[in-house]
Amino acid sequence: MHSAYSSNSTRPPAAEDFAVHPASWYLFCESSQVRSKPFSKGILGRQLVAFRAASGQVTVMDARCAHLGADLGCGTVVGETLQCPFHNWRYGTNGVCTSIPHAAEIPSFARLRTYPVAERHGSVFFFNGPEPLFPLPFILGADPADFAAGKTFRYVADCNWYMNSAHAFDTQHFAAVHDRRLLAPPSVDCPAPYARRNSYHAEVIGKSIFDRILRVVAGRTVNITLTIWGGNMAVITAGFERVRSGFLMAMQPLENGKTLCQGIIYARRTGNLLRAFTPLHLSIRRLFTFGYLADEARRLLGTRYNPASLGPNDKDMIEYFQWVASLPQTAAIPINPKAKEGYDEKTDRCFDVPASCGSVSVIASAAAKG
Amino acid sequence: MQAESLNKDCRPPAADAFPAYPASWYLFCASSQLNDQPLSQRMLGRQLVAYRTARGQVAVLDAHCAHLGADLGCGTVVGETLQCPFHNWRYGTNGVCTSIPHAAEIPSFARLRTYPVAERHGSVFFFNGPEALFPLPFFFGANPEEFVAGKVFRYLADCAWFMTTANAFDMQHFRCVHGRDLIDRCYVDCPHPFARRNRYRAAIVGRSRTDGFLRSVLGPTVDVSITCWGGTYLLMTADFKRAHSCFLIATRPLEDGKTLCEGIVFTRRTHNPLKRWPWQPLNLMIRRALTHGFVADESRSLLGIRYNPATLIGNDATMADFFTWLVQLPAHRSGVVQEEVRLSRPMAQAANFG
Repeated sequence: MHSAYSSNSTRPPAAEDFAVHPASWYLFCESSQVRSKPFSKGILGRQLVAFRAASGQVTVMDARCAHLGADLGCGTVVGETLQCPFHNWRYGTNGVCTSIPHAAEIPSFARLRTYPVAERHGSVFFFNGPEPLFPLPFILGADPADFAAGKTFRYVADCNWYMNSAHAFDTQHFAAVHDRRLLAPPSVDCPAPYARRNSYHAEVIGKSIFDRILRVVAGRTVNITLTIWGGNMAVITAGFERVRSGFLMAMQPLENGKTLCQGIIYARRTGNLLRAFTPLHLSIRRLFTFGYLADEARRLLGTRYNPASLGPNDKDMIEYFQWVASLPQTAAIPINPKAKEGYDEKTDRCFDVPASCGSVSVIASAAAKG
Repeated sequence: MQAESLNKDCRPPAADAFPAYPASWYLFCASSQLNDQPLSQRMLGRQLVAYRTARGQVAVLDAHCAHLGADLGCGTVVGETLQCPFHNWRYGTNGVCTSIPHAAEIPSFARLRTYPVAERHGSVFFFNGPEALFPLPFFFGANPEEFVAGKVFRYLADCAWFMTTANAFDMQHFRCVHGRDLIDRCYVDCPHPFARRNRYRAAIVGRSRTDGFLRSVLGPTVDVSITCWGGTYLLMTADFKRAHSCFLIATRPLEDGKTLCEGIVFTRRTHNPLKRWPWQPLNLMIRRALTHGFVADESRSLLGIRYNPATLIGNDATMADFFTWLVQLPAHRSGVVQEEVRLSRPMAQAANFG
């Protein structure tokens, strides 16, 4: 075991081997945010805009107008197109400009990059690439239509995206951080291309109020599956003796090296009478799951990836890092250096910070040098 | 791509052809801020200080003392001089040090760069250069004495300074952004080597409440004249059928690439003492509110616009011509103070000669 660990095949990848923004699905906004107006924000180093056409279709595309870069998030939806607020150029759902007022022809540069979109349970997701490499992940073998979703919860993890998703394969930390004692060794498999799953059986041994309630209400032991898709989308199911829980964790790399984690809880749709309790049901699940995860993020500040400091105990995690680093990234999109993004923890919003005009400062420094 | 979109003779300049801080007039502060003490602030990449001497003259100079760089904004005004808070060196309005306590002689390096200053309607303006290339602009044929000014309003434009002022020559955006439909064509001329003017007549077609008010109260059409001085300083007049409006927008490039826009509305000074109060202040407030709404609304809806010569099309010819005019302004290519050199004097000299 030890000798195998030191060989090349099990050596963890270098930090540079990971994509900055892996080709995967990302949560963009709530469906309610694109009801009548477009919505734009800085995400993955670009400014993107989402709008709902008159026919109901949602489109996500680059937010900067091809003409002079105005933010289409301040524009208006006109039929099946999005109209720029500056000179009223209109872009169709394929990103191609369809009309320019008083112009004889539409120049060839008048087109914007669009992204594959999926809308589910009141959230808009997009894939960071020209084509989705895998469908929007859900609980394996389950139909999303059979489930209802809770309100999205958010927190910021003070580490990069692959460190955050690697928790799913960090067997050691289940006991140390989450008070779960493994009853059998975890089993790791890849149920689909771009998906890697960790399944284990554990006992709830924590003394926190949440864990006490869990033991009484749900049961003493739990079967967990954690499936990571594309490196940033985690689908987690927890089967207690008396309760089943499932949720999605969409991770998004921020420009400051941290990771925005957005979670959505699922509960199976119930029959007629019990339907009234679904919102309450979802809120309780959301509270438990949010508490469980955000507590971890608060305790693990500033964790950093360091291949040299991973040991034999971290074998599952090392293999996960190797798998993530080897995922095809050809579809990822280059970062637009003019857009800078940020995340305001106070207002819980992502925002865009346009960079200064670089060329002007070059002139200024040249002039200063005389 | 260029050829299919825009005529060859009006090819717009490259983005790096524009200076960071063009030679022009800039609004420094309100006159009232200099009543008893100096005021220093970071502006155009430098720290500048303004003070009013005992006789009432205002001077704007570099704020860091030539000795050890203390900020003269923390100093005190002593007669005609500004005294540094650190070792009490005193500087005259010409920037030359006049006194150093207990020193036998005043070294030659003890002088600071000064800037041409103009004070008008309660605001202090300075010119970014050793001498003013044009007088502080005002409306053609109008005497500033005959006008009163409203309180300055401010807003931030999320783009470079030349994109802000280029809006004056962007004929397409008047309809799309401002709800003004051009009647006939626009007339562009240069009434002064440093001034470029755009005049047009437009119908007010906007559907906003303000535009509805303007249409019914002031008239359905408006004659607009916009003059851009030095690329940064805009003077606008709007003649409605039943009203006349005039205001200025002084823009200032910020270090983060955005542009601070400061506006002042004017109205003709009334000689009827009965009208002077409360009608005149109220009049200015209404004008200020309408004007501020008109221009700031634009900056809110136009986020992140940036200059790209390759994406200007035939529709943008008037704007492209403005850009071409802007970069050929003589002052933009020479002797303008562009950025503070944070070096000690011998090192700065070495850098200059090297």
